[in-house]
Amino acid sequence: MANTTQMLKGLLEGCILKIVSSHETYGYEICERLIDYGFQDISEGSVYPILIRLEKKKLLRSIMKESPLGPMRKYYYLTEGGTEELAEFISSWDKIKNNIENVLEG
Amino acid sequence: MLAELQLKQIRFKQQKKLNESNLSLYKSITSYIQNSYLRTIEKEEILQQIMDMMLQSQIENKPIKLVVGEDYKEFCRSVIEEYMKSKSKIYWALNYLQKYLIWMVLITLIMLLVDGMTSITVNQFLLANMVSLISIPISRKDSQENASTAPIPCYKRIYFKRDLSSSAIWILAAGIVMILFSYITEDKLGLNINNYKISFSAGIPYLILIILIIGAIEIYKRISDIKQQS
Repeated sequence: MANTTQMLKGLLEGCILKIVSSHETYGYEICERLIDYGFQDISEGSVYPILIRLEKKKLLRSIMKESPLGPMRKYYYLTEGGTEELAEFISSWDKIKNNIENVLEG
Repeated sequence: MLAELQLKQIRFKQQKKLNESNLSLYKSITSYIQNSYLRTIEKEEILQQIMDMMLQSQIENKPIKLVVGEDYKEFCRSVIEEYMKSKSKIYWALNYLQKYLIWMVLITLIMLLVDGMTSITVNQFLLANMVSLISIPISRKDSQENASTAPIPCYKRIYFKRDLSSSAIWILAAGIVMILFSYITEDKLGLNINNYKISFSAGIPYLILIILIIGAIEIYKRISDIKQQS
């Protein structure tokens, strides 16, 4: 299962879109949420690069505001494209989940 | 330019809040990112985010590896790659050409200055070109690999050696081209081109042209960056 990491990273993109869709959020908070959901190993070091990718693909947009800690912080929002992508992700995930469950149930 | 300076000032002010180990890691990351080909504003954007995440993990007493991962170089590479991937091949080719022209003009001007602003030989001009061509990949790569302030683990030392040897290959290749050039022009064609003098006054129109090209590339780069952000 050498490609598990790669596959999970793809799924992580969908999960990040979902987290951003619920409310205005920023890099560290997204990391924390993913860890809370049990994605610690896979999210280490990969959340911030994914955020950049999603923004470059115009699925997310961001606004820089001063963070309470001092530096400038990027707050992320879903774009129209991001909303569509998230809907697509949810429907493909449902399909995959059903298919796998069917296979496992024999 | 103003935005970049303001961001830099914020970083200098805020980095004092980092504890010793985080500061050392932050400095290594800064050095790695600064030595990439990204634009100053992009580097600042990245470093602000990293500093913010580091400060928060420090306050919450959580390990920074949750954000950066086990290997900060790997993290920096993937961040830089995301920015680089989003730009076209033409952008990077023009970027390289621009850097090369800037180096070439600067080195040629320094050589002229040493010579009293009168002239330089073809040989010196060739050398300026060679140095400009090879200095772009070498200066960035080696500085990135030297960025580590922590003791370098064994596997990273292998990386370092590989990059050093690739630098050596560049220098060797440049040297061979120069020797070949003088061999062909002097021995085969019987020309002593290498010692021909190029006078400063004759070079001025070319200098203006090159500066215009550098400026045009800069305008192209800025326009394509703005297009991407909107």
